[in-house]
Amino acid sequence: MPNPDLSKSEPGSTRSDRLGYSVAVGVLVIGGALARTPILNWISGPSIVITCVIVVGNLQDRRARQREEKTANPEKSS
Amino acid sequence: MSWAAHELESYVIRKHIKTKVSYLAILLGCLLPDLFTKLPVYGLHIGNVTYIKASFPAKYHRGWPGVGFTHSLLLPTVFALLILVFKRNRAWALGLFVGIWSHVLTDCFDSVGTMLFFPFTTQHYSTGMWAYASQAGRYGDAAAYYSSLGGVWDFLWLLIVLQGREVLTRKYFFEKIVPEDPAWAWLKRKFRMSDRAMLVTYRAFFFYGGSRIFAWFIWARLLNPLRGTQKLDLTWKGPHWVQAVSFPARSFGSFMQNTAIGMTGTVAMFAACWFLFVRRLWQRAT
Repeated sequence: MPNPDLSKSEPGSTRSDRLGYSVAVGVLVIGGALARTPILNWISGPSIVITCVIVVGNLQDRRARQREEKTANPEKSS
Repeated sequence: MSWAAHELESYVIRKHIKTKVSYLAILLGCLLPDLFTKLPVYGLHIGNVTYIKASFPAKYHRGWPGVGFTHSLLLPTVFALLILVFKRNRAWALGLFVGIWSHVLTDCFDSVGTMLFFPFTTQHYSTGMWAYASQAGRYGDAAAYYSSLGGVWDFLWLLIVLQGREVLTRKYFFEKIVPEDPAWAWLKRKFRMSDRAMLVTYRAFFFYGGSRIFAWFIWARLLNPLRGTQKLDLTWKGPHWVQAVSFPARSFGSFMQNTAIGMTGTVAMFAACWFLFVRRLWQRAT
């Protein structure tokens, strides 16, 4: 399997990933303390982390792309 | 029993094994002894009715008769052998072996301990660092664990992983973890996983394990309705407000005798397995 470029990740990926991980930790810690077992188990716990990072990451990346398009083509976007 | 330690130890083990080994196999090994045995320990609650609950959870979970053999040094050998026979994959055989071993050894720290040398002896080996309290139910057990040295034990594992945090980096994952295990390439192909999805799958148990410590600690110490009586007790074999289950030897002599029998039997079994067929299987595997 070819290795991805490790020196430079996709634009915005690190920041958007960080946000995704922060959301996951927030959900697990606060939601876990309140709901306990339905969140804090071997299936839903890791699934929450994966879902948060992928969803938040992709949303952030899409926003970043839209912002880039706007700045590149200000007439088209207006 | 250890709670988050089982999720976190997989990263520490992977970092310190210098030969080719599968991280996924280590993780599976760390979870395997409890994976199919934990449900009857607390029971399945539907409404006000409890199903499939063991009458003596500690005996069922760690003892004999029960499923205590899942917490012995024998089980990893069986799984590693099955992998060598059917998949011929050294990285997975070794990963499962060390993963299960680490779970079994980590569980030696509570008051019940594990039957390390089963089936040669049913002697339990325990340091008695914190009270095994599964008989108090899931939430009673959580309150006891995170009010005792068990919680400190989990924090310690979190600190150990953070101290060697390079194991969590993107570079480490794509340069060390992925090339050593064909399962990642299969996952990528089968589920069309992006690099982000692969990396978060690898890190998921770290974030889950770490967050779980704080969530349970917050519940046990701040939200638990019984926190007034279930106080923080960081003494050995604490907390003393719960009955610590243990299976000690009848006498020191009996302990030594059981240990001698168990250790000799286990070493002889490992040696016999190695010379009779494991060595050949290992050489045949890739």
